[in-house]
Parts: sequence; C-alpha cells; structure tokens
Amino acid sequence: MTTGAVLTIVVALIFDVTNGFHDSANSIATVVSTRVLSPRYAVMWAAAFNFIAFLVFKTAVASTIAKGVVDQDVLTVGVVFAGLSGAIIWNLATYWLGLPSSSSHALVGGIAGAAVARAGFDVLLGDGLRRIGVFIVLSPLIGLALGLILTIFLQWTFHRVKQLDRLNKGFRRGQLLSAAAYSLGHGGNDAQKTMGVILAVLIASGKVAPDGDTPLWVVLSSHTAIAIGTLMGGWRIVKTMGSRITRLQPAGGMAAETGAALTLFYTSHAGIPVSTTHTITGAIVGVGASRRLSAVRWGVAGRVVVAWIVTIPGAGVAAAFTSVLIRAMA
Amino acid sequence: MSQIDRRVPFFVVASLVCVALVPVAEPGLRYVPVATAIVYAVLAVLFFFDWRGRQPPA
Repeated sequence: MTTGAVLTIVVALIFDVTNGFHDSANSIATVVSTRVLSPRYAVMWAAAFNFIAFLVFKTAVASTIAKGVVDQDVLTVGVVFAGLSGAIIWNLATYWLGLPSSSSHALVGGIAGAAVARAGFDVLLGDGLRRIGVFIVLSPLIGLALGLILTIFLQWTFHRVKQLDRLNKGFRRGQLLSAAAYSLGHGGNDAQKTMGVILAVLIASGKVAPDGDTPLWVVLSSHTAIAIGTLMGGWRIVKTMGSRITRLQPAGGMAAETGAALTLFYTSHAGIPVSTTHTITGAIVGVGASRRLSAVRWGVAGRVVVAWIVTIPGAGVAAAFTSVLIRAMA
Repeated sequence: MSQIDRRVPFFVVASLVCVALVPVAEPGLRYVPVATAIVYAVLAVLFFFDWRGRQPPA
C-alpha cells in the first residue's frame, strides 16, 4: 500500500475519533442529567455500545459511502484524501461558526466535491445521492414523530399511577436501555462512514475488489476509533459541563433516545448514512412538542435546517479546492 | 374560539414536506416518506380534534 493510502486511512480514523468526541454529549446527556449514571460510568456505557455495534449491524452504510456517491473509476486515493480533508475543514469552520453541521453530510459533500473537481459532474451517482439527500430531511422528521408518539404513549399508559417516585425509578432504569440503544445506533451508523472511506481507499489501492466486502480489521478499527472519541469527549463534558447539561424528565429522555435509536437502526439496516445529531435533535423536539410548540427551542431547529442546506455544497467546495491544491503540488 | 393549537399547522406542513419527498425518493424506499406523511397527517387530525374538544361550548 502507498504512503498516501496509509496516510488517508490514518486521517479517516482521526476523523472517526473526532466524530465520537463531538457526539458523545448526545449519548450521555440524558442519563447524566437525570442522575441515572455518574458521568464517568455514562461515558463508559456509551463507548462500550459504540464499540459492540459491529456485532449488530452489517456494513451497508459503508458500502453506500464507498460505492454509492461517485463513480468508482474516479475514486482514487487522492480524491478520497481531498474529500476527507474538505469534510474536516468544513467541520472546523462550522464548529467555529456554531452551526450544528453534520460530519456525515460533510463527508458525502467532500467526496462528491473532490470527485467533481477531478472529473466533472457526470461522476456523481444520482441514486445514492438522492437516497442520502432525502434522508437528510426525513431522519429528523422520523425522530421527531417517534419522540412525540412515544412520549404520548408513556403519558397515556402511566397517567393513573400515583406513586411517582416508583414510576421515575422505572423510567431511569429504562433510560439505561434507551441510552445503550442510542449509542448502538450511533456507533452503527457513524463508524460505518469511516469504514466506507477506508474501503474506498482499499478499492482504489487494489487491496479489495470493487464488489468486495469490508475487511474485519477495518470494521474493528473504525468502531475502536469512535469509542475512543466518545471516551475523550465524555471526559471533556465531565470537566466542563458537569450539572449544566439541560434537564430532561426521565420519561422524556427515554422517549427521545428510543425514537432516535429506532431511526438509526432502520437507516443503518437500509444502508443510509444519516446525521445522528440531527436525528436526536428531532426526537428531543418531538418530546418538547408533546407539551406545546413553545417548549421547543426553535432557534436550534432553524440552525439545523440551515445546516441541511449548506453542508454538502460547502464541504464539496472545500474538498474541490483541496483536490486542486493537491494536484498543483503533485 | 381561541387560536388553533400551533402543532396542527406544524404537522400539516411536516406531512406536506414528506409528500414532496416521495417522487424524489428511490422507488424501493418510497414507502418511508409515504408512511411518515401519513403519520404526520394523522397527528394533525388528532391534535385538531383534541384542540376543538377543549373549546368551551358556543
């Protein structure tokens, strides 16, 4: 394997670590704020389920990233590296701007932008991009509907129960399961995006046949990287956020995590890369909307919509510039 | 009669967004936006009747 290929794989794994680091708050916020687990154990709980997700999900999302975005003939190591670099540049820029951008959408936009800079718009695969584009909008809407319906279901089922302490104790235990399910879905969908990048590099290097499966070492290293990122991000939260995490009732936290987890299970199974952050944001909006619409922080929801629109073109442009720069330097 | 529950128009708009996604979606996955549109339409109807049921008699 060439040095460029090895370097691209290392950068992809670093991207995976930053993904876990960035998203760990989503996985542990509700269990910590409702005091179900201490921050230390919550972080370990989430990282463990991020890792074991490889036992549950196949690699359909990885295949979509590696084979479903652009024509494989133009997917060279240089294009993958430029795409990855574009996604990282976009993530850093939006982090600085405070825009809730999706790493997944940035990755898709980056690979598409680098390939277009190399060989024009004809190399884009319409079916794959359409599938990803449709679910950019659908996944938060599905999460929202499930969060809302589960909250209403829990309210209706338990509204006659008088022993509220006992009921909350039950919901807190349930949150252990819902947090585990969400972390499983997060690990399943997000680690596979890195697997897709590494698979594209291996195909471009001739180490894997174009119709070949993802090697086991790629699966294990991607899940390990995201779990390490979750552990690192969690420690940052323990230090800086402490009890300042938004308060949620145990039933609401359980409904939001379960709604998001079900959405991620479905999309991972169907091979659709979605934003885990936007999905859980949708589910939390759904829980808030079960009370009244004014309970929802619409500013955050509006910023998510802006991020939908600008991320793929923005990361694509950043990757196209990187691709041109790499060719100029070569 | 008080102002309508704002969740009703919200769910109607969400349902219409899902309907708009149906022709764009891959044929094999079209059932997802269709099912989501139906869920939002049902939620809009249920929340409308819930709001109407809470209005004092005229």
